[in-house]
Amino acid sequence: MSAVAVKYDDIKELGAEVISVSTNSHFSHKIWDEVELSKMVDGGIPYPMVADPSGSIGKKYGVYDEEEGVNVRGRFLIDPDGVLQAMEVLTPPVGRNVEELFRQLQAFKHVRKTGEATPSGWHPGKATLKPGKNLVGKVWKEWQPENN
Amino acid sequence: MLKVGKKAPDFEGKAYHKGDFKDVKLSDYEGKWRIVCFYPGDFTFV
Repeated sequence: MSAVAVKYDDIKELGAEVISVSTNSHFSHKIWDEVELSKMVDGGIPYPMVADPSGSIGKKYGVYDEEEGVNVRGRFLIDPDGVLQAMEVLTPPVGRNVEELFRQLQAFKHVRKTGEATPSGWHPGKATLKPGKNLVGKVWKEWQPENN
Repeated sequence: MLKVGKKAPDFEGKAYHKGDFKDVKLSDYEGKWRIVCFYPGDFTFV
């Protein structure tokens, strides 16, 4: 949570909003932010922290663990039309990589704007692919894994 | 069943946001990119 918060200004600059969700109450979110997270992130968590005590939001997204009564780690990237573009779900002990989330947001924005495709590991400024009949069987001319 | 390329399910809930409590709905942010992060619980370590 704090890792995303630290990157929040960059995420916001790309025009994206963050919402976090756990089965804790909004009262618990407040205390956690006040006593702990605000000591890791200047000014505390900048985005809304949603309470999902019944797990009903988690169930919609397939991340609710009935036995433990919690939502497992999951992050979902949703475009301006409300379409789910990417998701990543992990068991609790391993944290996510915010840099990869940020890279995907940049790539999806680029694709949406240009209609191009971004190859594996793409970062802004790197070569993209223009899908079409002329590219069929010729991706090797445009893109090689070791050069990117 | 949740699938990429399909509409993400809307939801709403009580939220804590920068010192205040408010109701937050995913569709309140229609027209923007949105990142929804689930995590197991407050006061956990990762």
